[in-house]
Amino acid sequence: MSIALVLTSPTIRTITSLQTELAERLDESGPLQIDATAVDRVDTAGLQLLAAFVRDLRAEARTVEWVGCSDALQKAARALGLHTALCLPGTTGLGSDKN
Amino acid sequence: MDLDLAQFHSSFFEESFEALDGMEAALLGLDVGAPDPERVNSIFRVAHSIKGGAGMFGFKDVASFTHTLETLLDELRSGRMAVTRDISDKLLLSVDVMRAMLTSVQRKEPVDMQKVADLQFDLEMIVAQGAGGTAAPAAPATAPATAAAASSAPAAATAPAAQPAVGNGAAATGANGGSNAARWAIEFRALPELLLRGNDPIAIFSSLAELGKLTVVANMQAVPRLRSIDAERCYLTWTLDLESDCARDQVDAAFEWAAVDCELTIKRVEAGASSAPSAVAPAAVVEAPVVAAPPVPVAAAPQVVEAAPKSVEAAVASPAPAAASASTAPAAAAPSPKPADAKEPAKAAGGGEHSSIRVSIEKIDELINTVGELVITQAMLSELGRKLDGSVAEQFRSGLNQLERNMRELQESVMRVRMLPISFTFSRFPRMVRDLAQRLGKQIELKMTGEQTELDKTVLEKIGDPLVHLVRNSIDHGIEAPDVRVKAGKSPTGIVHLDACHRGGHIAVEIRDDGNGLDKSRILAKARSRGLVGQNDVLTDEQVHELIFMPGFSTAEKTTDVSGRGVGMDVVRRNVKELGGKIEIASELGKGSRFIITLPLTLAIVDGQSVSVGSETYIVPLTSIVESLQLQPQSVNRLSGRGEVFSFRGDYLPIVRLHELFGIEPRATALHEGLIVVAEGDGRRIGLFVDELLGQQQVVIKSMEANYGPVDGVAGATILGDGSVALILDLSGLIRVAAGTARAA
Repeated sequence: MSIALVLTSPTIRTITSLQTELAERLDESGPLQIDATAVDRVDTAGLQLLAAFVRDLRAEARTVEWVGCSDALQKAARALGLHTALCLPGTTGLGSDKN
Repeated sequence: MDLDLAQFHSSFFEESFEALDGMEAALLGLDVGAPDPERVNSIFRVAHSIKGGAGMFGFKDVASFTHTLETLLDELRSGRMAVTRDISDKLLLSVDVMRAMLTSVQRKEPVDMQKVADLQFDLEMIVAQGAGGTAAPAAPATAPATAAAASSAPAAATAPAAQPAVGNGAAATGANGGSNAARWAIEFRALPELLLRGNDPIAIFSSLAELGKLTVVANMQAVPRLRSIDAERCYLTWTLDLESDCARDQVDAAFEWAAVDCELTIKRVEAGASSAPSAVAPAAVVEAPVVAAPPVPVAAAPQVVEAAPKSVEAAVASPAPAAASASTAPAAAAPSPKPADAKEPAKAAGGGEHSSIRVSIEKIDELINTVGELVITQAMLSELGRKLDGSVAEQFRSGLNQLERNMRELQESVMRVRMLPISFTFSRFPRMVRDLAQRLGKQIELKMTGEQTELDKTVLEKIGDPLVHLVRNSIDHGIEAPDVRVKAGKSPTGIVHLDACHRGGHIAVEIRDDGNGLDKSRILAKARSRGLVGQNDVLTDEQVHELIFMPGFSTAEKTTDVSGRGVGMDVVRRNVKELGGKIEIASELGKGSRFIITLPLTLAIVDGQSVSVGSETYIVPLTSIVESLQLQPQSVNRLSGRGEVFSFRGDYLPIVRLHELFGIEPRATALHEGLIVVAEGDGRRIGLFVDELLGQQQVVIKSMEANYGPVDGVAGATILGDGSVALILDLSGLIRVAAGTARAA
């Protein structure tokens, strides 16, 4: 199990560094834990990038597990209809889902 | 979202000013009584996008005014009110007011709120009177309702379920939606700039969710792999289903700020139609596009979707059994006029298809400067190449020739970057002519041709005022009042024609009118009464025309606020001269006048004739040269106090010895040993005495003012191929200097 990816505020202001970090995580192998407990701000750019990340991970048959997810992120993901795509808790495509 | 919006201010202003120009042009072309709907739409879009931007940036006054304007335009657009002359005038005034407001806001100056409030009140009154108390503006939006209600199957086809689904999710938010409420089917596709402009779909969807029960389906199909994402761009598209009895306006309002940055379709689906996406089982909904239809083979469903990802109609027309059974569907799917309108603004104003970029003029000038230096270096190399001997010299020279060709192309391309079509200047005239004609009670038709003729931006900017003056003169002095025209056997409508075209290395701009023409006898009488011309002097037509360029000269019977104060024509000529251009007049009494301005295409390069005087080289602009000749001693006369003159085609021209003027030791002092270059400036001709003519070349002008200081008689300097500096002569200045020297002698 690799070290959990800790998210703080995935927004357009920090998007470039987030993209670099996520791209590095893609190169690893095995399941990935995401800790989004501390996410206080999030926007569409951030969620779009995360959704692409999760999709790319799953395409490599890797699993995603959210070890914590703040209300802010959950709400925003739901508002954008990305809850499932992000495999957030409470959706059918959870971390245990290996497809 | 705590984005620093200030960084987007400048582009908002730039775009708004451009949009206002477009709005003004569209307004001027608007036919009172029978307006072209597309034109009204385009006007509406401008107001709408400015309102959105102003709202987003917190420019409340602008947003409030444009909101009122938009309300009126919406009335016009929907046909609920007719476009009258008064309304068209008020709309034009609104353009002025918005321009003034935006300028004030841009400069952080206070806005003249009285003016704004007055006009805003007028606009509100127009809307109030026009509306006549009817209070159901949202009603037309529900047009397709009955057709949709007729069958549940086709209604389902219009639902977002037809959207492709690849690993998507759906989410329902909002609480106050009733199960029997009508629904709004919304397709939302962000344009690339949406996120950068500080618009966030989260906020948009949240405000929609307040209207009712909202189901959001995101489509990730267009999102590239993580590594290739441009992370500031929005690739996601959404299909939204809003269950709410709210009015169309309320749905529109949620997208208000983002309207220019997205493609949007909003369709109303009437109550009773079954809801396709269900919040209970989102995944299932997404994977089975046509829920309410008879069973569809599972394999067929994705096929339909993939073949036409966005199209509800395509799903209907496909061979899938579901679609076939829903043969009445087109009625429901047929777009009402409203959604079509909603989609257009995004397309037109989104800017996604623009294939141009904004570059600051400094950057371009820097580029031009560097290319200028390159040209000089290349000339130095060419000079060196000519002196080389040996086997490699030939190869070197052929390489140099190629370099020279490429340099010339590069230089031309770079100069072209600075070129803009003259339409930028012409575009202000339709409005001006319309306003002036109205004020003066004249009927005037403005014709413009050659608007696409390109010229240097600096020239373009400086030619604006002189052109305004000439057009104003044509309207005020040239074109007669309608009754006078009819009496003279002319059409009551006068024609002012603006034309631009390239002529050689120059651009010619012509202002032509079919008015009364210049009245030579009146001009002459006025000049005589003011002592400008002797009582018995006989003047040629050209000389009489020249008089109108005298400072303070006007034959207007009364001074209007339009013209007649006698300031202007001298300024016009001075401006044109400063640009290295000239102005000519042709006029026939009773038939009209033509003012022809000839201008260089650019101010950065000049075609010059190099002449040598002693060890120095000077550049004489080719446009100033009449001809060059060798003088015979007998053709020279000496006038006491006025120096030497020589006979040239019936005129006596003064001889200016350049070596004397510049204090240089010449090689030739006797006139027959050197050459005379007959050159003109300010309408006067002189003979420049030089040692010899060297060659003709294009030279890059280096400013004297910027690098040294202004020098009379010198327009600038250039660096020659051998690295030495040559002065470029300014003939007008030189003639003044020479005249001063001659008088002093």
